Amino acid sequence: MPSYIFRRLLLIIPTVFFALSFLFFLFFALPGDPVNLIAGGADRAPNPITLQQIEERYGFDDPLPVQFANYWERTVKWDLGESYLNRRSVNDILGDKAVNSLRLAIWAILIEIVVGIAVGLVSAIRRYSMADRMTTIVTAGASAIPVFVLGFILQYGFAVVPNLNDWPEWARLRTSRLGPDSWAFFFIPTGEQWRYLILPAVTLASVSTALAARMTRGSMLEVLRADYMRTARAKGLRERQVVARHGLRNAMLPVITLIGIDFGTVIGAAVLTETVFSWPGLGSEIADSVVGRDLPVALGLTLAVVVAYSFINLLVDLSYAWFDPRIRLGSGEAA
Amino acid sequence: MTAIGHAGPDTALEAAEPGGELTDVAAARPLRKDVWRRFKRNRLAMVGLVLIVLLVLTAVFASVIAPYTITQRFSGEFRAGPSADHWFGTDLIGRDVFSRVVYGARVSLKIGIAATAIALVIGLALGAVAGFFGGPLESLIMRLTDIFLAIPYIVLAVAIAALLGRSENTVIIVLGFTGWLGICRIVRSSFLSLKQLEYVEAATALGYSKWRIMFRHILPNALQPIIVYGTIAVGSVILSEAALSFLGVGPQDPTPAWGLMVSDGKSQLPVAPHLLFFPGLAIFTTVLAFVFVGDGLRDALDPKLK
Amino acid sequence: MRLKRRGIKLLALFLGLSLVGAACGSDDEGSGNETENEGEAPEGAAGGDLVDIGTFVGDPPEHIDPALNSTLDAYQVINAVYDGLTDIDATDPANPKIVPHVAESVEPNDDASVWTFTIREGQTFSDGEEILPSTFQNSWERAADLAGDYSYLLTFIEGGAERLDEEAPADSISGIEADDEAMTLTVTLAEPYSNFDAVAGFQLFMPVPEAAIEAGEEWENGVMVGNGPYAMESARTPEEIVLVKNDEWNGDYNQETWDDRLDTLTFRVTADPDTSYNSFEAGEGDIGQIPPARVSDAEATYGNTLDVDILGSYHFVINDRDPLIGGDDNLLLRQAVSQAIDREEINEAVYNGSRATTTGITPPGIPGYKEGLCEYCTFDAEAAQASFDEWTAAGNSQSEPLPIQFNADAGHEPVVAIIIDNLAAIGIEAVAEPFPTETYFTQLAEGACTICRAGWFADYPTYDNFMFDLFHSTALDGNNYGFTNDEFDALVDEAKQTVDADEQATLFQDAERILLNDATMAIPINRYRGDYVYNEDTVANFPQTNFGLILWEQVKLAA
Repeated sequence: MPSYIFRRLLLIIPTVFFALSFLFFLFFALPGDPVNLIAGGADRAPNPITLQQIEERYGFDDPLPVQFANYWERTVKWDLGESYLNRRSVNDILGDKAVNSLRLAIWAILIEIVVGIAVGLVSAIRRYSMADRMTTIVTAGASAIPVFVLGFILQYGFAVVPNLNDWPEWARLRTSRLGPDSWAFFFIPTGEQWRYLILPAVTLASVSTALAARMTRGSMLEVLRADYMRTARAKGLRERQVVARHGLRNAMLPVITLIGIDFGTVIGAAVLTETVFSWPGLGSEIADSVVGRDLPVALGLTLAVVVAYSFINLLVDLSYAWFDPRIRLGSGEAA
Repeated sequence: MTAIGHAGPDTALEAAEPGGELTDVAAARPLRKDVWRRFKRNRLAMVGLVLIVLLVLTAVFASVIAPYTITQRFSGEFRAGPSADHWFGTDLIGRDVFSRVVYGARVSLKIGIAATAIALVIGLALGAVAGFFGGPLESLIMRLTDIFLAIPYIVLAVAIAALLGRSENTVIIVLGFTGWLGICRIVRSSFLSLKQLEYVEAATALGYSKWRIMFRHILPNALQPIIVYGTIAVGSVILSEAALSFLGVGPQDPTPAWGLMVSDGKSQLPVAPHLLFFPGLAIFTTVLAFVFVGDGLRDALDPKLK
Repeated sequence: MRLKRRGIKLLALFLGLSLVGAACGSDDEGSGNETENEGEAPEGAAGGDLVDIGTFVGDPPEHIDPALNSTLDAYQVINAVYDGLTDIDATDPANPKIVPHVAESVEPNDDASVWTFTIREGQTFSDGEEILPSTFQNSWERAADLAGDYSYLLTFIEGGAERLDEEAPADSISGIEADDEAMTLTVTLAEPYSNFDAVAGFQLFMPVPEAAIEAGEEWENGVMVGNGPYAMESARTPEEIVLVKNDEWNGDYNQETWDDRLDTLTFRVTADPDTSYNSFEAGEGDIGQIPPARVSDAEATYGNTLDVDILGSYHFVINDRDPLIGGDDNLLLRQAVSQAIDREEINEAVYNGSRATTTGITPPGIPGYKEGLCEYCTFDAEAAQASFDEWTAAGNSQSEPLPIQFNADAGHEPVVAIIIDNLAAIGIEAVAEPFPTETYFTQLAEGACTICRAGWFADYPTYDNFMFDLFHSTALDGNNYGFTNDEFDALVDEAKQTVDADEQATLFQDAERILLNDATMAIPINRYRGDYVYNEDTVANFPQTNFGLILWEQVKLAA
């Protein structure tokens, strides 16, 4: 087991290296000269001497392979450079934004796990009941609405309407921004904070919660038919015990996989959610920086996401062992 | 399909997982007749199928169905609500929304199908090679998918769109080339388990070429989860187009892409809700239709579910 | 003020999308949202905290240093933190006047080539540093060193170009003479310029303390110290800029100190105009921005600045170098294009009828403005058809559709769609060619456009701010489009040096006639209107001048 973890950790290095290197060259191919961008000469030809100074300062006059080597040399030392647009250190930007994104993501994942799995379980156990049919339709529906439309509707319905109709203060949710930034234990909103958190968290969670519910339902149905379940029932265990002790654990495998693989979807949804709700997180910043050709920011923040993705998948694989003791890690890769 | 806020890969995983059991599935490839019989019993799936047929007909006969063209403007009728002349009302500059939504079926279907096709071709080819040949080739391909899975595809999508300029075709390329990862993994695991079966060994013993075995003997048995995946992916690609439009990297006006119309209509919600509602409804029902059909296919293709 | 890059995105969203005001003329808002506030004496509470979520929409400002900024939104902050030598008294919007502010008097010599500013005694920055004539000399030399987008204005001063020369910058700007004893700042210009007093009050020329000179371009990232009615409370963040009342303020150009002004003024960045308005309606800010769709709603329900006719121009410029439409042979085609565009319809459809349609680049309110200079700027399909037919009859034909370029996602799509439709009606083929906002203006600079969308806000009330900066062939950023017309240049040059106001006006008008008629190189579409919304329950007075600036010292919360 420790050697497995070590091997997996080692594998993260080439993944991160190649992913970032690929993006490095992709971003360099983008139209729009970063030198012009930094010179601020967006609407007139900037002074050639300014351009030259910028080229030297940022090393644009070096051949691309040299720039590439320099990029990695700095990155390895955890110096992510500075924003072309506002000269802020990317390390600082990353620090600020990652914390905000993390808090939002924690809540979205909590909603996904609690609501998604609960709904999926009920749906599977009461198959073909009214609740099951509703779940099928609602979860399919939730994944058929563009995230930004949902966010916009929630803003209107839970923040604007309550305010215009003078609902009590606590019932007026907030449409945008981080809010007072008051948290306990890192992620528990205190004071006014929850009114700022709730709409973006629900919006971000919407898609993955629907998926988790569908997944749980499907996988639970599968498990309920399994032989060992029949054995468990034959042993005289009550249905509830059967489901709780044997069923749930086994049914969680694919759901856990989903939560791991789903990370990409969460990032995608986070870009949209953070943009709609002006939540100062990684997602909106990444999209902005790519569109704005702010390469150091785009690369630096993506680096964080790539590393996070790799670790989450490692955790997911490790959790297989816990959920299903039959899986022994270390003998080849996990499924 | 790794798409932005959608149902694709994960639903398909339901079809593919748990991996080991594919062996049984493949051993008992269902008869087409049985599949159809089981599919027909699923009411939601049938509704979805009818909707998709209607959608395809709308796309094919758009010029017959739509009363006006996508650019024809009615001077003075700006943001007008639904009426006898304009069933879905008019947009900001006086174009008929109904006609645009009808023509939009073409755009959205084209994007959905073409992007899914690209993803399927890449995913199938790489996944089959990885699963069948194994060894360093497999490691290479799987590392490649790991790398691309680790890059948030939205970053890729925005970067590619910035590189190629904004158009329908860019959307297709973006979503096609970011959508093959899930397919590749599924195909690989199918091939991994299928190639160990007796009939493959028999074919090998008969001296058939590796390519023949791959495509003639294994592929048909590995198709089931791919069919399900591909069906649902078409819907999720259509949804992703909306997200790309929202981020400003989707198709451009006057292309009547539904996602673009929704994205533009979002600001008009409080004053001219029809601008968001009708194209939004078109996306919603289309995505649902593909999900229902995909679900129906999964159940119908799986002989264990009676 | 330019619309540019990130700023462009902001302003373009800000303006391009801002379909301001449902009806043309101003309805009675009843509140103090106009600049003409004489005798209005708005009542309201003293002090208080105000949250603005309508100024920074889209991105945080790139620059808030007066030497670097070139966008109107960031100028809102700069204008609150700094005061210049002169100011614009826009109490009468139709007749804005330049008045001395930090200077107590401004005296040109006879030919307007040497200007003497006498600095008022005893004025200080908010940290107590005294403001002396040498403060201005140092600030202007600093502005030259930072080489911001507006630094070309320094070439108006003798020795300015030499100081801007990056290879061998001069030690000082030779035309500036600061006498701290006599409190006089004497400025010798490179060429006589009769409107230098207007330019001297502009942000680039605002005084900064010594610390700013040391801090260089990092100044704007710290707590900037200024001499305006408000001071920065803390360094800016990407999310907000917080200003507090500057108790050391020396007062406005009338020495009025508006002691009841706000205690704090917070600018918060929002994602887009829709979010800004939603958040405003959700009670998260006192001042928001009105998105296109919400104009009627805003007008009916809230206080707003929809009736403020901003001195600016929304127009298209033609690339004279492009064989599709440039050159003498295509004059008739250009005239046909300009006449074919239904400006009223654009205003109705895209801007909800809220903008002012226009027949010239220079707006009314700019001294020297004359109505009806343009012969081709009103919709006349028949005349357009006739011009086009004549052009065709002369043996011309369209080799390919005319591309119309604009920056994407900033609300210009529907405008261009209507123009294409208008042109199609008389047989001219055209296509939309959107560029990403990030690269649009670089592409313009490279001449990569044919019919190019452009927009401009007046920096100060002078005719040359439109004619010189936008179209003169030697203007640093005016000549992206290959328009070089000796007669035009000569008229503008002469006008700039002319001291007599009437004579100057005639010269400028003649120049604009050449631009619009003889050459037809610009197609005016409309003029911007204010697009701030505020809640009258919480904000009692919110004056926006027709330069787009908020008079922050006069803003008052409701009692």
